Amino acid sequence: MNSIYALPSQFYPFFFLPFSILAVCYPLSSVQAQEALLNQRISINLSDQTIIDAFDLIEASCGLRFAYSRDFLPDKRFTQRFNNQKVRDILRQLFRGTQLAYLIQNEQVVIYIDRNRQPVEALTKVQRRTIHGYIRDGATGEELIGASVWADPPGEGAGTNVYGFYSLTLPPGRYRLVISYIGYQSIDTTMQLEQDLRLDLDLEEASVELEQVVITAPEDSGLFGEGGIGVAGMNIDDLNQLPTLFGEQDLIQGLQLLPGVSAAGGTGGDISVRGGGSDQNLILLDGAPIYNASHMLGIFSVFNPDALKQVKLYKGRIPTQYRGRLSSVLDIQMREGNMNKFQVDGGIGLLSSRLKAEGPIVKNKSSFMLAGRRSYWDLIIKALAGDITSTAGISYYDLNAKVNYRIGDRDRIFLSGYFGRDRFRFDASNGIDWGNRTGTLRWNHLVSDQLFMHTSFIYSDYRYKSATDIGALNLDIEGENELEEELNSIQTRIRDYHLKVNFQYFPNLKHTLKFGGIGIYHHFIPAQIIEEGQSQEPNINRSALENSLFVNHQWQLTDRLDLDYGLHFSHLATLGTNNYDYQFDKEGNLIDSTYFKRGEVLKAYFRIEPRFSASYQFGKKNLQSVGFAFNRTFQYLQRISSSFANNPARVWLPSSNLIKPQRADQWSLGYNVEFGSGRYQFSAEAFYKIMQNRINFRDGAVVDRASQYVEGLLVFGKETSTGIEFQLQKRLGKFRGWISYTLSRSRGQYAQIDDGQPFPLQFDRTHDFALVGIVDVGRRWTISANWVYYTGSTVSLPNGKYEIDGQVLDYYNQRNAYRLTPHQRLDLAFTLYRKGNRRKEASWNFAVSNVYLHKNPFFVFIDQENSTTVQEVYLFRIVPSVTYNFKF
Amino acid sequence: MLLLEDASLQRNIIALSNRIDYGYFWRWIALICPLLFLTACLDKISLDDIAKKRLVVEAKVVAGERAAVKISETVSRTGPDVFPGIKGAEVRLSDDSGYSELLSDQEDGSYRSVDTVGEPGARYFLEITYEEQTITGDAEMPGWVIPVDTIWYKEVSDTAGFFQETLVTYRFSTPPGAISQGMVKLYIDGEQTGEVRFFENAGTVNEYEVGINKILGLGQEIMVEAVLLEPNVYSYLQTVYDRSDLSDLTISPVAPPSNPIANLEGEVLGYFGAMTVGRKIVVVE
Repeated sequence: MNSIYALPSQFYPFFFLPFSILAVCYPLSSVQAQEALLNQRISINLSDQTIIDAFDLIEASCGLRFAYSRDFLPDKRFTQRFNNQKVRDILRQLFRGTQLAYLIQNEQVVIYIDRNRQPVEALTKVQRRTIHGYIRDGATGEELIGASVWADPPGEGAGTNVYGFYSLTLPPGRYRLVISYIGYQSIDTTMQLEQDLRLDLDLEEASVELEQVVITAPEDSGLFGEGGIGVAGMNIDDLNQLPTLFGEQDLIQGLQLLPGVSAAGGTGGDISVRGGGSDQNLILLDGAPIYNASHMLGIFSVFNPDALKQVKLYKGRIPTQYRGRLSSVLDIQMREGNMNKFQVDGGIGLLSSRLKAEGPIVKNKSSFMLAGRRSYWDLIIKALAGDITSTAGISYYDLNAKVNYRIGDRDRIFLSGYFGRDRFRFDASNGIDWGNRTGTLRWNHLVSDQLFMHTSFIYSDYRYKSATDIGALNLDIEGENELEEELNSIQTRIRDYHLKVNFQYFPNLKHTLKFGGIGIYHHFIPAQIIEEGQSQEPNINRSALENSLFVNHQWQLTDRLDLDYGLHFSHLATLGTNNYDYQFDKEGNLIDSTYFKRGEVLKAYFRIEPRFSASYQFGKKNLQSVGFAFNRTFQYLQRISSSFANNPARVWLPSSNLIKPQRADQWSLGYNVEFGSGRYQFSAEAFYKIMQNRINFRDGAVVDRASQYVEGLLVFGKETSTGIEFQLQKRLGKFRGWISYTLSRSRGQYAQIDDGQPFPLQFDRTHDFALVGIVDVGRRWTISANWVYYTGSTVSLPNGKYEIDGQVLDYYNQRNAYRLTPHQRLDLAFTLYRKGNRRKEASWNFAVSNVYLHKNPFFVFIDQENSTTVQEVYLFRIVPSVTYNFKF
Repeated sequence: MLLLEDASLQRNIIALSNRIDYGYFWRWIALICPLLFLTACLDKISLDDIAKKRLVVEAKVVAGERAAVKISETVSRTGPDVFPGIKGAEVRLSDDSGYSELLSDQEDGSYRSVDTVGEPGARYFLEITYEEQTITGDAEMPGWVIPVDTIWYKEVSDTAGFFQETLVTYRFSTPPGAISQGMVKLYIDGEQTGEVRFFENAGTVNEYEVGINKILGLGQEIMVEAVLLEPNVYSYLQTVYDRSDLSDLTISPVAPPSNPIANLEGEVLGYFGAMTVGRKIVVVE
């Protein structure tokens, strides 16, 4: 036997490369000689023997020599008799179900692994070892999400999951490992893998010069992120450099610059994704749903960028573990806090200031993060009015907090929360306030080197309250009068309790399995009257239990073809709360009612949601890929308010006897190419989305939240959205940025609206264009600009009048027949850093929003007198701002 | 995007803003200064002047009275509040006894029955034909009447005598059992005054006060009319009156603005109501 199995495995690629070349270039005569060798007929008898034994027997029978490495040969034992069979056929049978292949060189049979052949695990039983661990930021000790861990051979790798965990399962041998993450210096090392290995690595931040190269436009905004096509990300560093209104860095404003995403109402808070309503987006902060993401009636969003670690927007292929909304999932992770040192940073702006503190509690074991913001319009008002006791004003605050603790190598617990509130007060007793409160307790556990589990208990509470003093003129007999004031308020509330268990299993580099489940208890109070501080029993009061299970398989079918498919099984049980369920006829008239006790199932639904995506990569110099995705999602919660997108009075109801679960089927087809050595990326994605059982208000509906008959005001129909998105990015270099354009069309069709004729949806944006540029000027200045243009929202306006019972009414010819003036805006920002590393030093940010004073409508005012025009009211013609950011 | 017209939140803001005391002027300037300096109105959206006209039908069969149907059509928003009647329509009214009558065209857009007089509990069918349009509807008159029990009034004024008004109070009861839905109107010398009140209850004594900004003179006539309606017409008329009432300060989810719909089939606005009316009249002494 002329064996080379002693050859170190790191030389395999170099060893086999010449053979591969020879395999192509070998002279024809040699090929004929090989054919002769392989066509020899021999007889061998295997009795519980290994494949190496088989090679020895073949060598003894015909003189062929085998060259191989023991490391990649299967352990399987063979008991088989081969009588007068060609060597070629014997090898074929021995290699069946494995990745083993051979070629002939100098009368030697060289055995190698052909990655294009699919192994059958049950047959191969190749010995495997697992490298697993966490990739962390060397400075802060925080885990890095999406860091790349690449192994050679086989020249493949994996990314860290949302908790910074990775797992690679490989045959024993010597490997080159490259660990990289955007903005950090890569680690390139070789290692001998003989047994399962825990490898936690810290990456150090890149230097300033390197950083200028690696800070990118939104990562994964092309096609092939974690969830397949249609994934958009937002780099928090980039977000902090973009010009924004009043200098307030805002995640939602940043996302609106991406293709397929547009403003739904104000500048921040609500978004419309691919023509959908803002109620169709599931917004998660550390897994907790945020039911209203707006501060200041939609001018800003509730997310403090200082507190954020990672943002992913899934708009095409929604990963199987998510559920519950038709259009998108916005998954936001909070920072965990610096594990190594105490750090404070913040900013002082025109409207608000912010402060964040983070640091270790127990070094390398436990850390905390605390970030807060507060606006001070109300304080300015008090100061100007000279009345610090005044209660009038507009203000908001929010607080993000998180602590975590590592328990050994395999366990870690996290506790995080968000607390935010807006106050809109006109005096002591008139005004509105609203806010979210969330809490997440999560336990990450490494069940084995290949199986990762996280379990979460999540609480979410959204409450809106409107207080009005009702002055009643009380006239006594003597003719004296006095003003009696009663403080009354009405509140809307939704509370959720979640229990979630998810697993990720990494059997090898080609397969990743995700599975898990979630149980949610929702409690809805659409309206509750509070009289003189005493809460009344709400007229309508619902609760629901939502459960789901999912399983998903990511499969690298070949080097070029990836599949990602799964099923989500969802179930909703709407529960009675000691009240009635009402039935209505087609006209919305009450026809019957049924009493349900607390906890009694009023209606249950079970649905299956298939998700599938595939991507195929091609091209060598310029990496290209095409992808396809199909997505089915169901939405069991409906928001009963539509035309006023940023109305903080958010009324949600679960599906019921009358309201069927909404369903969306979405098909996406995309193309992506990187060129210019990866500096540029172009992507295009077309989509078609059809949504069934959508709800709308019937014509003439007058909505009273306090009414238990609100379901009778609803009609049901279908909505469609179709479009194509383009994005060209320059990701690297001193000048970075992107151009995005979306051409789309969204229509609704309801039998009871406009005689069943299709009408444009509120956020039907024919054109949506964004241009973003960031340029580093020298070592201390960064200049950024963005220009946006999109088609105006649709609106229903009257174009006539008529009289009924002496009352003059507006006549509406068609739903959403008019459009507001298109929105366009140029924003500029200049950032000056103090000397030193710009990530670590203070900076001044000077910004101007709406530079050329374009009049962008914020709302419309319909003149109640006779008029053929509607007044569009715009805000913020030009807004200069200055913000000082500090860090120490 | 906010729709000020239909967003009650905006109504709330406007209504509350109207309460601003001038003593707090600067406070409010500060409150809204960013908006004042940066905000203005645009007159950008031009409304089409009636892209498509629609017929408007108000058909009533009142217990003990002859049936009356008024037909008009939508008009331009720019013109005066004048709604010319449509004459020449064929209006047929029939009831559940099989009697059918072609209503008399009054040449001003109104049509009246000659023989048909409303009867409580009866069901009526309406068919209107006009220029190849056919409009149909049916209505069932409630089987009972809500009588107005009492009306009383008093003059009130402040001590300085600057403020004077007449406070009219009226009371009526709904019978126990089935829910009574309807509206109450107050008339002074035949002219409807004050807010139209809607009621929906059973076995309840309802009492309302209406302030009239003047002292009523001797001989003036106060009439209260309690109109009992079918559920769908009740909802419709409630919507009609809500649409013209911007004083509501509650904040509600907002439906996109659209035309109220009732119980008529065809491309038409309006309603067909069969109703009973209880009336009481007092004369100021």
